[in-house]
Amino acid sequence: MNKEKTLKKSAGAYLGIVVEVLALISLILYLTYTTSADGLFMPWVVVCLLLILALEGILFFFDNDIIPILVAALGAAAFGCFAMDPPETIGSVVDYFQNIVMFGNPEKFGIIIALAVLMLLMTLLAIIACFPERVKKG
Amino acid sequence: MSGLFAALMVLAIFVNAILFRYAHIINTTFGIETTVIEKTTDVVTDTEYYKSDFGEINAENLKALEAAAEAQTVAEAQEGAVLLKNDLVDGKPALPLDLSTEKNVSLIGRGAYSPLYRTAAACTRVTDNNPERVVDLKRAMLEAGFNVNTDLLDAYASGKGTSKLGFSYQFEEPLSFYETNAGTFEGYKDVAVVMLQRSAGEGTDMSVDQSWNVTTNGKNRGFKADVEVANSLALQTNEKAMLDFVKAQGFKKIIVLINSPYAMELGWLEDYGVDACLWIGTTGLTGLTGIVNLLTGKDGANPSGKLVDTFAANSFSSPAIKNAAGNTPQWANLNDETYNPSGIVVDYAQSTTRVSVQQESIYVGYKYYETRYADAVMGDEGAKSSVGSSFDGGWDYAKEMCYPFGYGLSYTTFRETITNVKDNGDATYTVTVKVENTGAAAGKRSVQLYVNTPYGEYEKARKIEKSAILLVGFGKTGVLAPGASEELQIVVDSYLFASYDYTDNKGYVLTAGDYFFAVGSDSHAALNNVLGAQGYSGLVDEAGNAFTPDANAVYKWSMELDTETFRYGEGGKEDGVVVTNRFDKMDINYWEGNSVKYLTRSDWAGTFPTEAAKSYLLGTEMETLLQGEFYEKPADAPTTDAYAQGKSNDWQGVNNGLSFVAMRQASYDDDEIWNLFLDQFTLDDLVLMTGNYFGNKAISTQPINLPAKSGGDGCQGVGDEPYSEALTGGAVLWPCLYTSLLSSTFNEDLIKERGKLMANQALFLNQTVIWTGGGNLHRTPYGGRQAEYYSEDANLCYLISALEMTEMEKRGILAGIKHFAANDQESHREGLNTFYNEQAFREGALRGFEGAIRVAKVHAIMQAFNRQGVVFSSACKELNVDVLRDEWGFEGEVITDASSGVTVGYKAHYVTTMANGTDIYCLDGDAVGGTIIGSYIRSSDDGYMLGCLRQAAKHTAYALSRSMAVNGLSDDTVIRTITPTWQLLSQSAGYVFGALMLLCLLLFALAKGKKGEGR
Repeated sequence: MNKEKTLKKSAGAYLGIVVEVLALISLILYLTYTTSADGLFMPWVVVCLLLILALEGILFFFDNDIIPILVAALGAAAFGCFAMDPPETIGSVVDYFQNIVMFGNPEKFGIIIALAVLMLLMTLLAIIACFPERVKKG
Repeated sequence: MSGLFAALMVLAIFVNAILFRYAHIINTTFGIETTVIEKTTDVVTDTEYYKSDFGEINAENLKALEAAAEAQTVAEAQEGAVLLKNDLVDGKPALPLDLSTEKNVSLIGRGAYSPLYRTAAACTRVTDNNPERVVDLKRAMLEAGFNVNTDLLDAYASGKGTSKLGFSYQFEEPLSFYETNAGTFEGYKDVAVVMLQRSAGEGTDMSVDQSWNVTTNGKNRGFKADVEVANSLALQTNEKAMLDFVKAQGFKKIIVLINSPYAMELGWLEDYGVDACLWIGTTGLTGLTGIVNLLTGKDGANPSGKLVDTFAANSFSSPAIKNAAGNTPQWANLNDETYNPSGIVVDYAQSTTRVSVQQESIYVGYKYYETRYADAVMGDEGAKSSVGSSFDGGWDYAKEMCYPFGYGLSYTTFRETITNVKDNGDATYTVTVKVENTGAAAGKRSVQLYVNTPYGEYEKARKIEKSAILLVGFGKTGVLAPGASEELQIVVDSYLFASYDYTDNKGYVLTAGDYFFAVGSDSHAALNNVLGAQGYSGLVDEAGNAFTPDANAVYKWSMELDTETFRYGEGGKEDGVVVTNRFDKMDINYWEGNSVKYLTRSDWAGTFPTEAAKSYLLGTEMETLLQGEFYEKPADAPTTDAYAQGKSNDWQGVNNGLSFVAMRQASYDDDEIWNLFLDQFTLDDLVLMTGNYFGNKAISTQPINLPAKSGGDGCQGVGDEPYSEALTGGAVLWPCLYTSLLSSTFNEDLIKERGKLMANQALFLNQTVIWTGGGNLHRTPYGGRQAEYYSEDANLCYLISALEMTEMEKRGILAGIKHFAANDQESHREGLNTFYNEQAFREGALRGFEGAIRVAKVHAIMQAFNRQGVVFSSACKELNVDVLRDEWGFEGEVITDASSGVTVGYKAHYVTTMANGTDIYCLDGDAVGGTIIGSYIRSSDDGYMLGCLRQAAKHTAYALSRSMAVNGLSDDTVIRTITPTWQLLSQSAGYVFGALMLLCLLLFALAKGKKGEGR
């Protein structure tokens, strides 16, 4: 039955898989980032990413029109939580450009930008994934 | 579509939150006004209470101001650069150069290609944003008339050297670079000007071990342990290879410029055939013109700068270094499983783990080297022991020292004589020093006046430490022609050489015995003159050569024990607060279980720190203070109804008809009128007063009318924003960047002029305050912010800040000296636990700020990230209230260091910090901290805390009422706040996306419903 279901998947479902993979990479990278120094951990980022992973998993087996909307919103929320709090995120970017260590840690600039790009890409794909069908008709 | 709009709405919510958090900086950066001043009558009055020295605020006068600032920077460099070495070449001194025969030069070293204009810290961004104004070494040399090897300089653009703050091993190009470019030297071999550089800054000290990265707590990638030199202040592998290469090229002269505010180890100069060496610190926007003037002697330019730090042969030889910078240890019981009841000891988020015990006591910089030398000369075996020696055998001053504090050569020679000393009867002395130019060139002389005070059994019994030589005053002559002389009169306040006795008298004392005023070419020469007058022999200079003391450079007098003159602090205000011990808990030994030795000259061998102190965090009191949330509502605290804006008035104020501008006439002590003024604030207004992005928020509640103003940040130049485009005709123009050489000019006029110019720049920038003037000490050569702080010597900090900041305050610019206090390292600066004995703290770290407070009477001060003992500086009542306000009489605003509106960590204990003397929270534009305090007041009905919030608002309002914030205001003006268009649009976007999402969801639901019906 699962094989049959898999064979019936269409573009929306495959986009969902990409979103799932990006969420997983983001989560691993985020945990790497937060454990590299003290005081960087923002639990809501992890919560949002875990929810995305769970919801996309559910969606793969149980098609639903609300879940993609939630995933898109959660992707944006994960990025927002990461960008906003703790202040080290933006502070590190500011410090990088000002060449000082004042608000954050400029040495984290690279990983911060990588995480931001990953999360935004994930959100963008999650939005796009709201539009196409996830299961082939007929 | 619902997914799209849901995501956009969520993004908009977060983007709004972020943008609004940084709204102040966005508005400031783009010159967006958030308040306007409107007149309600047609009456014309002069409301420019504080006027610029450059006339009306307009484009033409701005040009004149910036031109004056650039000229000041040239003058600072010319008078502050220190000539360390000037050997004879073919029978003549290497410097000044002769442009007629030494015209063809090669500028060598990555530093020559990319000079260090300032260290990395908040300050003006002129060098980044106005490159056309920057005078680099090439430009300065070309403008002076040299032919410059530009091919070599161009080659650096594609070199491999990289700049990384705090590290030096990777900066210079490898030998292969020079070998490849050896051909460019042809035709440019008259002079090699080699420029070496060390760069660090805010949050980053120079590294004590370059294999280790303190910031990331990990190994430093790229550092090759088998090749590189670990100590960043030592000569690096690539630098050695480069200097060897240069030496082999056959240049007629090799001149080295040390472009570093950090005292490098310079014992290698002889090894590489260096003919002359000039320490140039950081050069600011135009300072290299002044440096090149010195190289050529243009218009009689002649070095007159003197070192304000000790240049030791081994930068690890000071007693402070074991507990400082990258060496700062953790609690000794950090990982002790048998002790960690509360977990605070390893609470990394609260930054609790690092401990710096100032075991060196008062012996910072020259006070250590010179005192140990004096004791060695006097026969103290401990002073001569091998403990603390950098070399095999006993401790030897000449081996340990490269250039002592106060050192600096000239193209001429001088003789200094103390011709008269007058006791003024008010605890001050006027010392007359005659300076004669005994050489062949015209020049200025920086005169340093030192004192030697008694040290004997009385002092030893009370653990009173004495530096064998102590700077207490300075002056500078005009240009003296050969053979000419000038008499300087230097007024000395004996407070600067009183000692703090923390064991017996618990106050400042002038102990009984013989005192000596002394002058000399530097601290060591002055000490030798004293030792000579005391009858000691075997004196040597820093090179180990025999020194002949000059009896005419010394004045001796005697004093009886005096414990009363400074009982009430400086000036003997008998109605003031009695000075007494306030920092017992900041001595690590106060806490049971700790036993740390502080250095004493009575036992050099037994107390010199040879390893980091072992400090233990033990007991609930220590833990509670360290945890930081220790405010408890007093049992007798009134309800908030004790104040006009209390609960029963629904947190609203009352209208007493007092405007902010009217308060400019109210004295600080007039509680009645200040209470009436404060009664007008709503609780939300009081909260808003704590918010800050260097400047202040507007209070438009009638009739208060307090305008929003911005502030500048930076000790090296006025920072944070360029001049308004209205003034520059649309061009981007940042204020001039100054040098790090102000202190080493020893020139009162230049110091005052810096203050005057920075104040005028602030007036043109519409700023009320500059967070500037570094009172922290160069405790070790590694401190990242050396370029911002004045000196290793606290008295010099006292004297210079008093001069510079007086000029700012009298022009209506608040001079916010920072970072209060004992914040003399950047490594682990967040929450660093700082311990010391009270004598060392009062005569060192505190003294560095005291001149600004007591003499210049500044109205602003910035706290620090570190802890005093285990108490966060912003929550340290002993510091912020007992000393600052009660002993020193500070009348102004106390701001945290960058608090940034955080809600977790050691900076987030807002109620506690407000209750202990903090007034405003830095970089907290949304008043997050104040909002937390306001919420606490609302929920607890704590009238005591409301009183604290009112008091904080008074401090800020008082300070602002003494600033240019009152300019443009009169009885008939009102402040109207404006919400910027971008903020309205940003908010609207969130609403629109939300509405669209709901609409889509509705349509989606309807469509689903229809599908269902269809089935």
